[in-house]
Amino acid sequence: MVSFKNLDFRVDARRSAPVGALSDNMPHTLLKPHINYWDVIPVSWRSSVVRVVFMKLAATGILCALVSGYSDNNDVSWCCTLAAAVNFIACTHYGIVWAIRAQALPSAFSHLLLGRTNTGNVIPVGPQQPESASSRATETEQPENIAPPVTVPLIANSDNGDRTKALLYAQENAVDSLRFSDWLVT
Amino acid sequence: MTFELYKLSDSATGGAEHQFSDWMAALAQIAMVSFGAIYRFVANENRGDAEGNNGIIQTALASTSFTVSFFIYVGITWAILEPIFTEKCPPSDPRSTCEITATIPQRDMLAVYVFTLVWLGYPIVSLTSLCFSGFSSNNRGYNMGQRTSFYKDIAYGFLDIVSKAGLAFYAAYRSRWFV
Repeated sequence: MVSFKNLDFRVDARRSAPVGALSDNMPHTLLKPHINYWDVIPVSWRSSVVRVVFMKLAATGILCALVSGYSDNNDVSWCCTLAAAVNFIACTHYGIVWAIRAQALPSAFSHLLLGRTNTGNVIPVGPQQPESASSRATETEQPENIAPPVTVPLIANSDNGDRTKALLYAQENAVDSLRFSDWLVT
Repeated sequence: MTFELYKLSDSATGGAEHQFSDWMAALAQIAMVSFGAIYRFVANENRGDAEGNNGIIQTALASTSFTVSFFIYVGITWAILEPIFTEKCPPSDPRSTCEITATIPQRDMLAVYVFTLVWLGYPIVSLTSLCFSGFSSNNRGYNMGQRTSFYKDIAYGFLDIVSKAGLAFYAAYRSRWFV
């Protein structure tokens, strides 16, 4: 039995082909690093969890809206209308959470995304790739036509320079604020 | 959701009076989430700063806001469940207790129990994630592990599916009994 805890999900850029172990043959490990941003948990996993919740809420919200419209019973109609409203508001919030988890925010927020520089540009991954996502995110080499990244630490009073952790912390704050906003309204 | 649960509770009991009105419960819910937001965003879940330190005021604020929020939650939950739990009768019924025996009110009663008590999962997830990250040996404020964050997504997603999507599906399914 494979222990999930002991699996090493980090990309080894030196490895050119899968060698047969489960952790080497998962879909996300076969992708090249520049289209596969993650450190411990793959982005595709994180976004798919939120996507499932979004779709469940959307489906039941649409169902309730339709029942509300077609029901002749006032009590049933009122309950379904409330449920539909609650689900649509939750869907809106989950849609933004989905964008954050998929690292697919609009350009104005792209500096918060993994695989981007502080100015929001895509971190280029050339032949000399760093070995892990963390070191990839701190890479400072840039092509001439891209502005060099700002090198100030992203965590106040911190000099550890762990950019991936800082970005995930910022994303976690954003997701939690969306959750509280959803709970406040619904 | 509070309005819906009040409505279902009324349907189960035949209109027995609650401890306080649905409007009061909805307002209390705003207060509950606001205190939860203070705990999360002002006191930062009692996590330390970048060096791992936190002060007495932060700890006091975090524990107070979480406790107040939790007690408001208990009050709202009790207000929703109390007429069902105590088998309270509607105002027009002179009996002291009215057992719920009819099929549809019994289903509504069960639904109210499930969709109200599932809310208890939210503070449990919050405290559990804190145990994974905030109270760990490395109590830096930004030290939110990816695994903890991932499990939080799954847990909150499950709770939202049960409490929101589940309640919506029940409300829609329930319409079949009133054709």
